[in-house]
Amino acid sequence: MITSVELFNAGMVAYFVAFLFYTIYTFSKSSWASKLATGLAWLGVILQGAGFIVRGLEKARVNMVSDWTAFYKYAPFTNMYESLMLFGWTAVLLYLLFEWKYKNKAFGMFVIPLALIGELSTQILGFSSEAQPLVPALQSNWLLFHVVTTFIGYAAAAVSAGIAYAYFIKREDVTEFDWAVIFVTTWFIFFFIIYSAYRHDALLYLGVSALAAAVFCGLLYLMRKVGISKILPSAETMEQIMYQSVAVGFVFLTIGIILGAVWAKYAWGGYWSWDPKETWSLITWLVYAAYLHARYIKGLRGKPLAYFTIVGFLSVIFTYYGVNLIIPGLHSYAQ
Amino acid sequence: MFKKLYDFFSSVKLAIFLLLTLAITSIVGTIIEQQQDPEKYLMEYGQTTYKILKFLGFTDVYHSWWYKLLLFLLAVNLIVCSIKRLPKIWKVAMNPRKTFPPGQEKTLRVSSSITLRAKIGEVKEKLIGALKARRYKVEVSKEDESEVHIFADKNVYARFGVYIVHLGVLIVLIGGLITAEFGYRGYMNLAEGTSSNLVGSFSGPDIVELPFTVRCNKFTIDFYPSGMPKAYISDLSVIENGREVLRKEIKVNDPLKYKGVYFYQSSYGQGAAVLKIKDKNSERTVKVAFGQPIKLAPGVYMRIVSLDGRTMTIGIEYIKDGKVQEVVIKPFILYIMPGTDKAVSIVDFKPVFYTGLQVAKDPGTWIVWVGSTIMIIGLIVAFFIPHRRVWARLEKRGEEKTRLVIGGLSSKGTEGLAQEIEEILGVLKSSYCENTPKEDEL
Repeated sequence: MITSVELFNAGMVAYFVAFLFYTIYTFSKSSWASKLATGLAWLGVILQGAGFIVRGLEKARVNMVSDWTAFYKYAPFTNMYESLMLFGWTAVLLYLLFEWKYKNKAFGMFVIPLALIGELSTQILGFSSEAQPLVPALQSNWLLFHVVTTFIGYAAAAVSAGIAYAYFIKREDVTEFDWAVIFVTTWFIFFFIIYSAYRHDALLYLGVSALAAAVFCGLLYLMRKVGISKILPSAETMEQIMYQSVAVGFVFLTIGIILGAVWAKYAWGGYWSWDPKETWSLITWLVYAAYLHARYIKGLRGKPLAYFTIVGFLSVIFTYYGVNLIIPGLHSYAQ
Repeated sequence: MFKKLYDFFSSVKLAIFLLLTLAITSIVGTIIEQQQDPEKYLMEYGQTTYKILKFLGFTDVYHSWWYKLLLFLLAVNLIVCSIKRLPKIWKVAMNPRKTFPPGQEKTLRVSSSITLRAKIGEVKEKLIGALKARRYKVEVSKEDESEVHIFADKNVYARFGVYIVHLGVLIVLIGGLITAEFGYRGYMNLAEGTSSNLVGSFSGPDIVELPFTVRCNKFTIDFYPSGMPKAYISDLSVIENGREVLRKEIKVNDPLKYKGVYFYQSSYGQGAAVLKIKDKNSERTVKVAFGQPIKLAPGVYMRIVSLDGRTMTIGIEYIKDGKVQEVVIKPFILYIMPGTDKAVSIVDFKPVFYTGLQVAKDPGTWIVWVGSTIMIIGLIVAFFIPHRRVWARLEKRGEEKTRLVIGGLSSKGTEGLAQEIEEILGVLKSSYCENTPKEDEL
């Protein structure tokens, strides 16, 4: 029988080919490339969606349950591998919904690789893909809802950050200062992801991630040079989509945090314990809350809002990778 | 002066500043371990740094005076901001200009016009029907022989979404305050067959006496075939006035609740001692788990903090009036507890398992849930429900012809509204279809 890992991998292949066609479409505007890109991305989503169902069955087997409660009680999102798959899957799905709503395919080239990197990082960083039995703390009806809502929030944050990067390609007045901000935030995004897997030689990985961020910024610069900005929608439209994406993310992040609090009440004895994960989710929430207010101040519209979005995503990355793996706490199931 | 203060507290800039300051200061508490023993900090940071950290409140950020002050300022900011803006929004939302004089359509984001082959009255009824079918509240704001103005809107409450969110946040903050002021969290360690009504605090000497007793009947651990633990189960009884009033098996994620106090399965351990407690006229032997407090006299407690099974020596914490003193008790020696008429000696050491319960009472929880629900409803309203308004003007163009000018505004994105107006025009066109939209420009 086909395994969940095979389905997840097949999905990744579909995403990768979709990414290629999105790129071809972006440069050639050919309609068959655009149709293939969207079709392949949906295929990836369907394959990985099936992957989660198979995973649920596998988890039921290792947990020795046979009834339907297995699906929500032993939901397949309980270790780094599974949650990264969920992250990538949700990000692509969310992107596709935005694509469908706004009838614009310009961001596929940016969002799909972000999701793909997230999913591929499980292999690069060596997270085990094995279905494991569930420790007692995670056996709860709240697990599914808490994790799913939180991850929709995370995925929306990733989508908005992808658009923010594209926004800097679009803007003509990008200064050296802007580049510096983009570089530093991206550097730390990479660093938290890479360092969380190794947890030693911080300096070495700081260097490696600086290199990766430099390459990333170089790519952005190159895209500006070859004139991708012409194919992107107007800066105002991009700001609007970025805002929409943050709004979706903020709502789901809020619901995720609250469901986490409800769960914590029944598992740990209090709805809030200032556990590092809780605190970092609050920090992320505060950053996005500040973003939502910054929209009302004239001087902060435009580029500062795009910074906010990237910093918000940085905070998400730290909440997700950093806290799980660097700072120990009640949430450290994934070690 | 008051005006200045009012403006300061109602500014969005202050909100952004407070949100970001809270975000940045919250980071501190995840880098420096919070609420640890002074010795631990001294070991890690040294004397001077520890003093600085302590002074700044960095060893307990979330309970420090300045963190609370920031939260308080945020609450004030929320309230003042809402007080300042609500009346304006109310006016805009509730009392819009309802007539639609010629030329007004140019100020609207979406507008369209069409000439229809029908009587003005027919078009009016049809249009009102179409708007109502789309859940609009419709009002005829002007009507005479040759001209009819119609105003319609829906989801006017969406204008207040932001304030609903703010109300929710405020209620959550109040709930948090009540938790901090009136709630407690502590632990009980109960060996199988033992009972107690004393709850120890995780840090510090505070001990809470419950008005009832909890007994652990049995503690079990289930394992997966791989040896990984599958479930921790404690069979507990609540005893009040000498009678068992409640019995429940608790697991992680499935606590026991009695009279507002929750008992959670949170840990387990091994080690209990049998102590003999003697006073002038009586003596009793008690079995007590590691860490569990016992009461010696009003305001005087003790608990075992170390056990050495080999030498039968135990270290205890002697707690009197909130002060802690450490004492070592060796076997066969009777220790007189200062300030009481009790003497304690160790009889036996048992390597039995005990269940570690977390005990919590938190009257703020329900308030937080109410606030959270309001917040989620507010967010959905604020982000996803548009307040839409439609204005329409019908002009009589001869006996059988009517010109319709229709336009609208939406508080969120115009695509949805444009589509609705398109649909409404479609309905009218299909009823009075001889004209194409082009014609009406004449």
